[in-house]
Amino acid sequence: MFLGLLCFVPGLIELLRARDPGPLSVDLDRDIDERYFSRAFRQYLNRALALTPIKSSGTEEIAVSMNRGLERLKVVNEDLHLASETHYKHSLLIRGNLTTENNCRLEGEICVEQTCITGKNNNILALYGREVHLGENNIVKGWVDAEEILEIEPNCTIGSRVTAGQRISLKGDADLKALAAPVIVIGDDIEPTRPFEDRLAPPQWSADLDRLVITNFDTQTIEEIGAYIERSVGKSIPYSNVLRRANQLGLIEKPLILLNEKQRPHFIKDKTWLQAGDTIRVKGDVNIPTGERIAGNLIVEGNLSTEPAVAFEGGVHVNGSVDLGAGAVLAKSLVARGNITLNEGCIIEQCCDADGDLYVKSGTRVGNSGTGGLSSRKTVFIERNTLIKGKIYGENAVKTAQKI
Amino acid sequence: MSAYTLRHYLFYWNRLFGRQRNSLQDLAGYYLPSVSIIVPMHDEEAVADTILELLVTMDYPKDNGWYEVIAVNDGSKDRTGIFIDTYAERYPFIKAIHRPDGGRGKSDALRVGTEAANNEIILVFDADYQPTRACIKRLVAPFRDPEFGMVMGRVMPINTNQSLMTRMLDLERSGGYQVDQQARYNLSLVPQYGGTVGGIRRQVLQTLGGWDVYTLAEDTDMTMRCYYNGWRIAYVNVAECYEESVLSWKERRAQLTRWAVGHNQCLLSHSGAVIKSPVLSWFQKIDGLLLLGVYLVPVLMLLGLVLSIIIYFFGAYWWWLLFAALVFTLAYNNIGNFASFNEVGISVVLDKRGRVIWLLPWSLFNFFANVWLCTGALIKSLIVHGNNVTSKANGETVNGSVKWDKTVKKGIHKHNGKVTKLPKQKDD
Repeated sequence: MFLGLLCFVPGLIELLRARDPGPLSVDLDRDIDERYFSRAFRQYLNRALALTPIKSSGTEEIAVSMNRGLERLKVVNEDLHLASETHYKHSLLIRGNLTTENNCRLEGEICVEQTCITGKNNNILALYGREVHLGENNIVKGWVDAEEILEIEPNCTIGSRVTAGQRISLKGDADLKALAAPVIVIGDDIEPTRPFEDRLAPPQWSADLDRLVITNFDTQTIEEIGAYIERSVGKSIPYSNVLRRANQLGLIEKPLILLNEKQRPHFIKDKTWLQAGDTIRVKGDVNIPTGERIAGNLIVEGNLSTEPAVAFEGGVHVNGSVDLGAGAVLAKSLVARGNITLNEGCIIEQCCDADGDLYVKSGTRVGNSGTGGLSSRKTVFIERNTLIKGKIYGENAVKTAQKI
Repeated sequence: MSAYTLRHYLFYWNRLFGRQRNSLQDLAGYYLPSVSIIVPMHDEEAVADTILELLVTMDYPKDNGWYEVIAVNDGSKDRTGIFIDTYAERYPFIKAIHRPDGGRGKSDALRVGTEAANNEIILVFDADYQPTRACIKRLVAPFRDPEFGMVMGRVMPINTNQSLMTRMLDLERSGGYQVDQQARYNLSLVPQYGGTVGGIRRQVLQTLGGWDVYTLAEDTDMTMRCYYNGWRIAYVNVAECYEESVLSWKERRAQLTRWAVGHNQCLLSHSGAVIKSPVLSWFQKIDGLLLLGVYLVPVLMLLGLVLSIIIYFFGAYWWWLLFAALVFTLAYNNIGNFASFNEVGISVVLDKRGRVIWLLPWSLFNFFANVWLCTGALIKSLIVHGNNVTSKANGETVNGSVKWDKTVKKGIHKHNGKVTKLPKQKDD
């Protein structure tokens, strides 16, 4: 009994003399900021400088108290040019422009208030500038951030986040971790893409068309109804749009319904359900032939592959791997538990998430108007001539190359 | 009981060593659907301005109707309505709904709020909650995956140092979210939507017929209906939100009874559908049933204790069998019946907390109190379920026997007039 009561003693001590009484510590004001590291560094810097008198011209080296304790900082009040082989151990604050030649080693964070242009083969800890141009073969151990535009020449390696307030341009092969900017261009700028709306304009349902659906729903296949509608109005309607309309008309009563053979499209052989009238769930692999259009969402419990020029009006979830044919268009997001391959010229209007590797081939565009991004729990491989709006994140790495 | 043993063991093993899913948070902030946030309020004058102020300053685009806050004044007798009106006048994205004849329970208030909602995603926050600025962005991130119909964030008590009860509940919440919910999500099982700090697609809600006003646990009810109809629930561990825990055993009793009765109602209503669902694997079906039956565990434990006593006094005196039974029972208690204690312990480690773990044995008192409360709740839920069936058959809109025992909030965490400050932790 004594032993049994003994287990309560530590708790009693904690109750009487509480050392850990507070809630889990969470900053309610914290928001999601991809440029956090750069901003935090500049905030610490500004706070430290506010307490330290410095000259307004010339160069000086001072001791400042940052979050890491007391450290040296070189403040340059004009432009700075670093010759080849320069080695500097401490942080740098440059009020003007910074240019470097080749093979420099800069072991502290660098904050440039104007433009920063680095030469080749430099080794840098972290870098911020209003505009940043990173030369070939630069290795940055930490983050790189530009207030406006960031350009990265080929064969750079950056160990942490690459961010910009306006645009990131990757000119060639690079080995990165994460990128975030309103526009990220890999290679050259790609041509403006064909209008998205053209391919996925929704049909205008009329009373006659509704009657057609109601009359034939139980007797004809969905594709036959779609074909009949096409003959009536001269406009192709994807089978899944017919299903959705049938649901809206109350022909499908349950939230989850098993589609029979008539209701399934011809290219799906496995068991298929309709969820909420606009989501199709398939138990098994799916291969979608060329030119097909899928209205609504698609959930595939196996692997998904498509031939060229397939269009999806909704989002796609795949439990296996995805191979999207060239020219595929997706109005929402694509999420897969396996690998994803986006072949040439794909358009994803929102985001693309893969638990496996993510391969993005040339001509692909991802994201639109503040929504978009690529994410992989492994590696993202991107060919040149792609455009991503938002963020690119690979848990292992983000690698760009001429051909993947 | 063995099934629960295995389940809890699987959960904390997975949480420690398994692959962790992050609910699509890598691109949080890069997918921003339109949201309607419903805040049901019944006599919440102590906390109303806190939650509304935080929702006003939430980091989310608020233009063109993309973000709306629907504050439902559900039959309040205090100044809740005045607070809501003040905010609604100042901010165009806040809608005030006043129901002088309300007060019939949260699910009814949600029903009204949902009817006023226009946007794609519906999120729910209780009035005493304090979300982080990034909470909404984090909660909506999983919805870009069409498989997810619902989402749940992490709830953390803020008033932990108020009483022994709040400290115990802090531990309980920690284990429940940091380990249990996350593990269920990792294993593609059923994380539970907990009624607050969470949400649902409006279209899914409409397809499933809206909130069930007959139940005391509309959250469990909707979780199950989503689950067996093919939608998954995402758990977002980083979508953190403070809550105000109950302070006393009396309040705890009312709260737990409500949860247990509601949960048992769902067990009776949805078990069949879970078993028959064509879109769930057997593993998922078993977990669904175990989740529905979770408030029966204390009852089974009581039954086991009673049976033990009966067998001891009236059974055969096979001592070696009794010894074996005792060994297995003790082993079971360590990781089975008390498996939830292991989860709490692991959550404290994962949260990198300190001496709070010393209080873990004191949870035993809560545990035994639960046995008593859940047994009473089981009896009550059988009565309520019977009445529900009758009411529905009679076409009544609300079941009068579903009495909502509201937890009164104190709104005790404001510092210097600002609502976002945290109480400082004592340094070691």
